[in-house]
Amino acid sequence: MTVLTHEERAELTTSARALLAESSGPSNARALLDDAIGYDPALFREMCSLGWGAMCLPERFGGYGASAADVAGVWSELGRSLCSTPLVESVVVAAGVIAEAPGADGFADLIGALGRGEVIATLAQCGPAGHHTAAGVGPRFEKSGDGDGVVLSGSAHFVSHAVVADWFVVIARDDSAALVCAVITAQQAAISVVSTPPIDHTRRLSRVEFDRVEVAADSVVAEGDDAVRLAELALERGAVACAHDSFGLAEVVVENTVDYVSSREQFGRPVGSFQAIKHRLADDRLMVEASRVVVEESAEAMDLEIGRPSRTVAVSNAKAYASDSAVDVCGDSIRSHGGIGFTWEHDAHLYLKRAMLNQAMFGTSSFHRRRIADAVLGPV
Amino acid sequence: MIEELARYDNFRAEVAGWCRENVPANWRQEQTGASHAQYLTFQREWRRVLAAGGYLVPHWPQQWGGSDMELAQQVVLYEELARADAPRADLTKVAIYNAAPPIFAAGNDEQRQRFLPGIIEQDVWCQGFSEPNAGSDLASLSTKASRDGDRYIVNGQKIWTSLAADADYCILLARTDPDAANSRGLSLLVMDMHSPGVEVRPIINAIGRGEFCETFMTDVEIPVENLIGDENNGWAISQTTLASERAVVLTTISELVRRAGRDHIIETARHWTMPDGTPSLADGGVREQLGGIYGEVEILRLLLNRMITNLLREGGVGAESSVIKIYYSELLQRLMRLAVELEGLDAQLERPFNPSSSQASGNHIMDYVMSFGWTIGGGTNEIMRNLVAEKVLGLPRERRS
Repeated sequence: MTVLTHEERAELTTSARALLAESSGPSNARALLDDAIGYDPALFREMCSLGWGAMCLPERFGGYGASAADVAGVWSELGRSLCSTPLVESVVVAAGVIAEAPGADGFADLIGALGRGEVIATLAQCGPAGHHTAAGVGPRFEKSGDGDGVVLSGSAHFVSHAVVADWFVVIARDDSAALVCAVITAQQAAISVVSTPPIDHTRRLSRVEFDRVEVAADSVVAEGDDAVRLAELALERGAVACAHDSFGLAEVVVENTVDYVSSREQFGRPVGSFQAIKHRLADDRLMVEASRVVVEESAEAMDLEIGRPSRTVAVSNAKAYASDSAVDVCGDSIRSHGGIGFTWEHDAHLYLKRAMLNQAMFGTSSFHRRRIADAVLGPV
Repeated sequence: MIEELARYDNFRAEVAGWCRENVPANWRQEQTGASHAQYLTFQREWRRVLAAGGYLVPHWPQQWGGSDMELAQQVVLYEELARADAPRADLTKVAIYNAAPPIFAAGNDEQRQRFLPGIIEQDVWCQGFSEPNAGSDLASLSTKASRDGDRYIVNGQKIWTSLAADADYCILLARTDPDAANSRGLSLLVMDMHSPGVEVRPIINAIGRGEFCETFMTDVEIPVENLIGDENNGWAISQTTLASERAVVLTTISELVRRAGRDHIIETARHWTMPDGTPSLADGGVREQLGGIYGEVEILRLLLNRMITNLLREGGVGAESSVIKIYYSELLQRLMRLAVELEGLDAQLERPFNPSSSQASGNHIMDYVMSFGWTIGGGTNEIMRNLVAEKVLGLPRERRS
C-alpha cells in the first residue's frame, strides 16, 4: 500500500543519496576489499534506523506497510553508491519472504529484529547452477530416519552474506520434489559456510552446506504451493531490487563519464566533442532513461497480485533491460576513458563488476525474457 | 498509467463509442493495394469524419474550429483512436503539425482567416524545407525569395516534399537575405502550389511508392501578405513545433508500434513453424526474442508517459522527444527485422501495400524497409544523438571546419 506522496518519495531518495555519498562509494568499497564481513555495520544500523528496510514490512511486524514504489528510490541509491550492506538481501528479500509466509506469525519477533537491522537473514536456495527456480533448488529436505523428524541436506550456492547471517531462509525440495521453506538459525555445527567470493568486490557470496541439519516442525513456514509462491516472491523482490541497483549505478557512471570526456583533451579539444564519443554517450543516456522508467514501473507493479501477467512482465522487463543496460553503460565507460579506464586504480571496473553480478542474480536476462514470453503467450 | 488522465474517463468512453460508430470496419483490407486515387478518396473521407466528430484539430482555439482541448484530454483521444485502430490522418499531417503552428504563433489574423478553415475543409499542405544540399544542414538552404514590390520572386528547389503532388499550399522556408549567413537570412512563406513556375516531380522511395517529391520553383510569385512573421525571422518561427504536438504524434506512433506492430506480429506468429515442424512459439529461443522485444515496446510507452507527465506537471520537456524519436524508430526497425526473420521465406514475397498504414502495415518486410524513413526523417537519428549529447549531457559542440 502506498504511504508516501511523490514529493515524500523524492525526499527519501535525496536523503538516501546524501547519506550514502558520505558513507559509501568507490573509496569505501576499496577499503572493504579485504574486510571479513564486507560492509560497514554502523552504516547498516543507521540505514535500518531510518526505516529503509522496515518500510516495506507489514505493520504488524513493526514495518510501515509501504509499497515497493515508496522505497525503491533507495534501492537505486545503493547501486549508485556501490553500497555493500545487506539491506536488500536481509530485509527486502529474506524478511519480506518470511513476513508473507503462512507461518509468519511464529517469527514475528525475528521479522521485527530483521527490519531494525539487529540480526541478518539471507535466502539459501540455489543449486550449483544458480537458478532461482523450483527445478534449480539445491537443499534437500529428508526424513531423518528416526521418528517424524526431518533433516536438511545438500547445499545452497551463491548465498549472500552467509558469513554474517544469523538466520537462513532455506528453500528446499522434499522427497516428493515439493518445495519447503524453513527458517533456521545459521550458527549450527551441522552447517558449514564456505566463502565463494564473486569478482564484484562489493558483494559477498558463499556456499552453505547442510549436513543433516535437524529442522523443528515450527521452523517450516511454508510447504508445497505456498513455498512455490514464496520462492516466486523472493525472485521478484530480488529482481526488482537488482534492477534498481543497476539503474542507479548506470546513471552515475554516465555522469562520471560525461565529466571525464568533457575535460580530457586530445587533438587540441575535449574528446567529448568528437561525434563518436557523443553518440556513444547519447546511447548510454538513452539506456539510462529507459532503465529509469522500466524500474519505476516494476516497483509500481509490485502492488499487483503476484502472478498477474502485467506484474510478471513489469518485473522481468525491468530486470532484463536495466541489468543488461548497466553492463553496456559500464563497458562504454571503460572505452570512453581509454587506457586509464582499464586500470585497477580507476573506479570503472568496480561498477562494471557489480553490474555483471546484478545481471546474474535473481534470474538471468535470458530467463526473464522467457518469463515475459510465458506471461504474454501462455505456457508452452 | 498517467494519473492526470483519469479525470477524462468519461471522455475516453465517449471516444470509444464514437470509434465504434465511425471507424471504417475493413479499412486495412480495403486500403491494401489501393491506387493513389483510392488513397486520396479514403483520406479525404476520413478527414471529413474526424472533422465532423471534432477530432481533427481539437487542440485549436474554438474561434478557429477547434475545442481548446488540453493536452491530457488529447492524449486520451489519441490513445482511444489508436486502440480502435483508427486510420492515421495522413493527408492533413503536414497542415496540422507543420503549417498551422507557425501560422498560429507568428502569423496575423488575416492569414489565419485565409488558411486555417481550409486545413479543416479541403486543403492539403506540404513543407518546403529540405534541399538537395540542405538536409541535416538545413540552415544552409539556398532557395531564394527576392523582394520585388508587393511580392517575392522565388527560385530554387526543395526535396523530400511529402504530399507535394497533391498539395494546395506549401509552407516554405527560403532565403530573403542573401548576405546573411545560414539561419539568419531565412523567411517563412506560404506558397500556392498551383502558382505558375511550381513544378513537382515525385521521387520513388525504396518500396516503390511516390510518397514525396522534388519541388522546383522558377520565378514563382508569392504575395507579401503570405510572409509569416517578420522577414528574416523564418528560422526561429519554423522551430515552433510545440512539445505538446510532438507528444500526441508520439502517442499515436507508440500505440501503432504496440498494437498494429508488436501485438499483430505475435498473433501472426502463432502460425509460424520451426524447421522441425514444431510451432515457433513453442521454441525457447523465439520466446526469448519475442519476450525481449515485447518488453522494449512496453518501455516506449513508459518513456512517453514520463514525457507527457513532465509536460503536464511542469509545462516543459528536456530533449525527451529526441530520446523517444531515436528509441521508437530503432525499436521499430528491430521489431520488423525480427518479424521478417522469424517469418521465414514467406516474408520475402511481394504483397500489396496499405498506403494509409503509417509505421505498421502488417507487411513486415515493407515496414522494415520503410523504417529507414523513420530513422532518417524528422531529423536523422545521428543528429538526434548530437542533440542529446549537446543539450542533455552538455558535451561541447564539434568545431565547424
